[in-house]
Amino acid sequence: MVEFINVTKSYSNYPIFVNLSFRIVPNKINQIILPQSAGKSTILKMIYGAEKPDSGFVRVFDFNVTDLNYTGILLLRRYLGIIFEDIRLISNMTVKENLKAITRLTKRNLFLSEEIFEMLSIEHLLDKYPFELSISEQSLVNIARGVIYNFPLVIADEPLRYLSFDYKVKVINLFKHLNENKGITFLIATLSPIDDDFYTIELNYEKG
Amino acid sequence: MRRDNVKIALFFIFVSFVLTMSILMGIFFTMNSYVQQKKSKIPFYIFLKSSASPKDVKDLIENIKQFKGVDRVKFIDKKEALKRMVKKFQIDPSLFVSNPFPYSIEVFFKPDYISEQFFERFREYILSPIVDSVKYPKRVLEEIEKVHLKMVYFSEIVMAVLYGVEFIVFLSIMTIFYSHRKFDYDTLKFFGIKRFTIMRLFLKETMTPILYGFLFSVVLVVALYFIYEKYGQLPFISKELFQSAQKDTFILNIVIGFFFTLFSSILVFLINDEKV
Repeated sequence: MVEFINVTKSYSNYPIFVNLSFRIVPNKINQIILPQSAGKSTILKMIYGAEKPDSGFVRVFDFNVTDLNYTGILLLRRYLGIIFEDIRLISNMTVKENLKAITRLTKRNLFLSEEIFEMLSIEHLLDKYPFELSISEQSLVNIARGVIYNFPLVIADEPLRYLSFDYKVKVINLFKHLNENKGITFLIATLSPIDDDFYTIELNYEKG
Repeated sequence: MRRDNVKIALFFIFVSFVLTMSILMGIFFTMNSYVQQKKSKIPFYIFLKSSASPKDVKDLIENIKQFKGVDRVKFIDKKEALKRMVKKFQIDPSLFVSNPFPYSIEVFFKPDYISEQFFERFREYILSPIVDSVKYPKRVLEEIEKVHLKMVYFSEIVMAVLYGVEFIVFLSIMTIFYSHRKFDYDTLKFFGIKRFTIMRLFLKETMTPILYGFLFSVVLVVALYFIYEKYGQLPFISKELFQSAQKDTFILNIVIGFFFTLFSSILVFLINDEKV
């Protein structure tokens, strides 16, 4: 589903990874554990084509992302659930509009799992704008937007960062529920292990 | 929904653009019409030979009326001319043994046609055996033409510079608008939404305050008309003339304002938008 083969990536001639290789396990909740500023977001961005590797291959759903043109990358993104580290809710849309924006703007009749509102306790937030929400509420909406369409692969960048312990448990349970009942594969980048049931990916690379 | 200051700024920029340019352009048009009116009052005199019969005069008048640019033709009878002079200078009519005046015709032209070349062309056209001589106030015409030309050049330059400046203002506010929304637009791209769809969203967002600005301007202009109708009066310029010039320029500037918004939005989007 996602495979990195000898990927090298550097910023301003400073290498982050050299010959990074790993593969995620389909139908599992995979976690990548890396310290602060070690390239977690870069790995995820390379999956959805927001960053390009200097060399090597990034394979997602049998596509080599590095070979895709921009239209191809946009098409690939339509089958990925993304949970951003910096939340990224659309500022002039309500929570409901944010959650429906993808189906509305891509003109696809996607099924929205409204059970997620209940599971994350965000039903009361649906008509509010992002600026009316606390950071933890915004984070929950960000998570809901990533999983609501039941895309086969969800990539999440530190999804629990802004959540209290109770909400962290709720989100972990939601991920487990979606994985077990709907077969959704997760790839979560995190600073520390989240749950013992999650599969920790072993990253093979030479440090920059 | 939170107040969006960039949209408010765009709204006021559009309103101030429409009102400023309409008023300024209206003033220029009114001044132009005023000078044109003055020009159209310059007469072209045709003095006829004493041998001219009433039928010849009638034919000549008909012929003059056929000439393109002629606004009105006035026949001045010998007796009437004498009577006018006697009245104007308060002379005793018994001093005249015979009437010294010939038959004459005064011709007035439409404002757009009046120029020295046109008068000369008309002079050639009018030559006939019954015409004794023709005259027109050449120096007055030259002076008015000069002033009119200078006024037209001045107003064209002022308007061109102002439109240029206004377009730069529109480009600047659109750049601020785009930068303000870039984070959201990039997020949408991460969900696979096409740039064309995002451009449509951007255009919708920029055109909405313009639409409100248009409605607000209409209300404001109607109010200004009402106030001007009741209390306003520019010296030497009729209300009708001023108001008709204002109405045309208002509509024109609304259209230009919409075009500026649309064009600057598309330009700013195409320049700034990135493939992320």
